[in-house]
Amino acid sequence: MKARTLLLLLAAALVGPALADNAPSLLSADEQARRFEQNLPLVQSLVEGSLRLADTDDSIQRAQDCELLAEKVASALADALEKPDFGRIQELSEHLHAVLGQGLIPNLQTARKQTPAGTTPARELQALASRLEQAILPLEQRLEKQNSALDPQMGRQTLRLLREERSEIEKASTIPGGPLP
Amino acid sequence: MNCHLVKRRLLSSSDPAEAPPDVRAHLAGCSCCRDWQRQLVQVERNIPLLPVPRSRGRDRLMQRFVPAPAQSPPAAAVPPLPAASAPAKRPLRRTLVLIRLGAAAAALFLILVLGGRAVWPRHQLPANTSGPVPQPASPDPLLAGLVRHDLRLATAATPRERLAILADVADELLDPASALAAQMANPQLEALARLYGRVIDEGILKQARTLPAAERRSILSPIAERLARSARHIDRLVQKTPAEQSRSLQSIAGTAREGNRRLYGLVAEVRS
Repeated sequence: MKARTLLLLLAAALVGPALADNAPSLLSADEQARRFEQNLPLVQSLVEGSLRLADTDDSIQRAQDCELLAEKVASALADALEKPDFGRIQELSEHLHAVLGQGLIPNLQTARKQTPAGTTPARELQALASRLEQAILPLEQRLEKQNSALDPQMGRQTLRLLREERSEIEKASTIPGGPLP
Repeated sequence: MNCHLVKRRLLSSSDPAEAPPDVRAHLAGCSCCRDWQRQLVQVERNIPLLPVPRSRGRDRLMQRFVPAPAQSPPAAAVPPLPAASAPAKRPLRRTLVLIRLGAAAAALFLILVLGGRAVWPRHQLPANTSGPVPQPASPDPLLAGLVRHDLRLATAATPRERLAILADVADELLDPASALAAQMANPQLEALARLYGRVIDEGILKQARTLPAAERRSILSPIAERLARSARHIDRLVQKTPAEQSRSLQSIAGTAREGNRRLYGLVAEVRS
């Protein structure tokens, strides 16, 4: 009986605070307001992204919309690396991976299947990939340079994911069977 | 009712899966609290599955009141155990103790894993603790929610899906307005009100007009109801907010009411 009570108390002591810590809105109100102010430009970009994405079924257009979002997040991530703000680096890295991996790459892969080589859409895909490379490469270089100042595991993982995603984007934007313009 | 209060109510309820009506109303419009409720329900459901060592307290208590039963077999029928066999019981007892300790250790491990997942949902402990220690991330729920909705929109297949996601985006924007109206500077609240207006006008209403007549009622009525609930919620908030901030909140409530009216207008167009 005593053991059972002790275990339940232990569970409550561990799980309760754990849940509370995990609840994002349990940040202090001032901290949330500060966050909101800091993130407002990104929030605006994301809402504009919502409106654009809701307006199209076309996978090339959706890939381009995701590319715009990825560029905005990458730019905020570059600012966080500059400071460096570790919590924000981790938060924005995760958003960037999500936008690239779950938004951009699946749409690029769909577009690739529907796009004949040498056409204007094929050139658009190539242009998109090179714009993204320009946004991601400096991030990779900065992550490499700052790796010692970051949590090594987090830095390595972010770098590895970015490289994998860049390579996926390159693959998905290359239309087989045709000369590149 | 704000997010903090909703979480406290859920924590104190006997079954967080069955929230009271006022909490349900908040959950319907707040994806953060819905996620949180899901986690809480998961924890509640898993705690009874944790192995708990058997207790002998009940037996000991019963022994105080119930006399020990008489030995049924006659003493002569069972020869007394030789002295050497007494220690043979010890390994059995030791095994039972070890099993109980093992069960307790397993329970502790599960609790730690469960707790740990909640405390460090997306972090990994640094392998090398030398050098500056990274600050723990405390992600912005608004940003995370909007990214999630945009990714859903990037693969949404039907107008129904798109409209539901846009309604989620609108609700997501109301969260900071509800929780932080008193702390926010007025320009921020105005920016939020503008964004909310754009989601309603350029998102929900624009997509609603493209719906085939046959689908309008079933898709638009629930969204119109959500907007009406949001308007009522913000109206209540206005009463508790300083006058300067309340203007932006009134504008949000007005947008929600207008959105509700126009959505029902689109449904009525079909009937007439």
